[in-house]
Amino acid sequence: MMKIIGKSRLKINELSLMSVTAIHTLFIVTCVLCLVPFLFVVSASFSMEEDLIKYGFSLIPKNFTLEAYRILIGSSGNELIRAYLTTIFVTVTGTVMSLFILSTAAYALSRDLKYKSQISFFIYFAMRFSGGMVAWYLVCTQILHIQDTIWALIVPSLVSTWNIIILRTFIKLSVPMEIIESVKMDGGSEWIIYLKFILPLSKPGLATVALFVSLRYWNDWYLPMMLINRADIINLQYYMQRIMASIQMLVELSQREMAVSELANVKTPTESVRMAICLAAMGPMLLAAPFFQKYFIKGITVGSVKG
Amino acid sequence: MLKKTENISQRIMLPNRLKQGGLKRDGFIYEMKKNYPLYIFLIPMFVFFIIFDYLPIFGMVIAFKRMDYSLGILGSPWAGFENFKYLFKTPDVWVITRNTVLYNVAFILTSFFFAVVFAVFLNEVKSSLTKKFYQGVLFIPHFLSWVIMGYLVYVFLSPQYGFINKGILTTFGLKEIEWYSSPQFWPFILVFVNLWKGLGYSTIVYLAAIAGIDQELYEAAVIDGAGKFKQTIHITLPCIKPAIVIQLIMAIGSLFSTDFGLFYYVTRNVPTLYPTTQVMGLYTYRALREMGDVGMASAAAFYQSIVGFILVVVANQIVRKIDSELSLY
Repeated sequence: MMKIIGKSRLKINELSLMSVTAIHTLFIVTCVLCLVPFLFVVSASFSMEEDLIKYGFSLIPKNFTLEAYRILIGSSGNELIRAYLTTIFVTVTGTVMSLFILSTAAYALSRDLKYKSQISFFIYFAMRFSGGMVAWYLVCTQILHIQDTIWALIVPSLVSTWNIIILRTFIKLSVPMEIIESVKMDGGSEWIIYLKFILPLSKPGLATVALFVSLRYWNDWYLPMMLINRADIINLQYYMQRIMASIQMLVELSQREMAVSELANVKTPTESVRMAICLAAMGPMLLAAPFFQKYFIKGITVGSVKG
Repeated sequence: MLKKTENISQRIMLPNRLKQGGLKRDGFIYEMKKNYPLYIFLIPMFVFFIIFDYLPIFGMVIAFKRMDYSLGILGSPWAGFENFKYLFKTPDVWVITRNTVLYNVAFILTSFFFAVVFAVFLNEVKSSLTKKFYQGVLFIPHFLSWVIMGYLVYVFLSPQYGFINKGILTTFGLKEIEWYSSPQFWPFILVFVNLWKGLGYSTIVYLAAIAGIDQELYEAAVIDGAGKFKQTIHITLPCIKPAIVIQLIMAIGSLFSTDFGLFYYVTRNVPTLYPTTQVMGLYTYRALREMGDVGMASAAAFYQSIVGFILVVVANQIVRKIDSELSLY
């Protein structure tokens, strides 16, 4: 008797083969939809320009060629490398500076301060209300005068409320109060506690937030678009934007057919080079994504529960 | 044992010592004396928020000024409501308001619906390896910027090279479509692209909520003979309802905000598409950086901020009524 009940319970709690198939089909289709665009980009970057003009973008290159990468390294290589270096410098510097400010603030907020609720309100308010783009722009350009400097790409996105909240939650979860108490009892200063205990103990939290911050810097198009007018300190994203726009102008200026034949003469990247640049820009992120995944999910979960 | 008595005596001594100094235990100076290193830790963050968030809030007054760069923000002459008169005379205001609100509503509803469905289904995938794989692939678009998103969309929609024109429409003998000069298609394209980029992220949010549900509820349901479908309807959905409700109401607060990278890069900023793709942030950007019209831009930014402010307050009031712990203040 028991056995029968057990079996039927199991059955009730199982999906029919059809539903299981349906669910997997749904996910497989969605996954394909998520991956196909990248295959097009990869394929286009290895395609011959003539094939692209004739057949358009396709999943598999008609004739495999490295021409696009040769042009990329040759003519426009310097600009691309400079944009790459700018992005790397901004990402590393920004992340280090940001982590310092975020972690000190998050640690202080994890403690029982008398004015904690006021401080929380101060940072939540900053998250939800903004004075708008123009006032922000004028503060950056008329008061701070950071436009057209490398700092324009770093300083304005150093701190975000969201990251402070996530880091504070991590610190609260991973550092036991007793440790802080006992260090203080032994006469250790807050600075020692922060350096020797908080930072090492909250490493997973720091790693998560470091990823959020560096992703933001790596993918940043907003700051160069708003604050940079010089060609020599644009980052990767904005460089890609310029390349997209330069061709667009060409196409708009001349007749379609004309433009295509002219592309060969004018020293502007062609479609395949464009796609090669796109691949070069997103490559590091795509390769790193699987390793970051775990930390990201953890961070989002912590943020959504506590936020 | 010895240590404990020491501690106690220290604790007893402390208030006396302080009383001699004339300090109250709950006063501002006492708190500063006791915890000043922690407050020092907070200074960099404070400075940042004051410069980049609070100063611009006061800077909103420039909407009432005739901005003159040589005179600075404070020195520029007052203009009263001139900038606003100018702004509200244009038909653009109505278009950008409509577009912003409708796009946000569409974004919220599509991402909410698909995220809940995907989270419920993903929760049913037995093998944890498969689950991780699906989750991982769905999450990939989140790592890409809007600039790259613009390239990916271009691969499909480019009139001369695009896969949809060359690979699909021509193959089936259909007429090619000039995507970048046909505004009528863009509401659907943009909603789809936004969903594509954000689905992995929002699925994780609801998956976390589902993971937090007490497993005993499901066990009880199985004993009562409830199948998977009934479990979803009667346990999963009601249990994540608070999370859903809060997320949706909070979204009211962001009806007027725009992540304008989507509208700028994915449409490639083609003027022909403006009737259906122009939104508030982008409008302000163009007025400020492309047309150099600070007055118009500041009026538009002011309008966006104030209405946004009201929406946040309203959303927060509603949340507070439902669950005071989750409200902003």
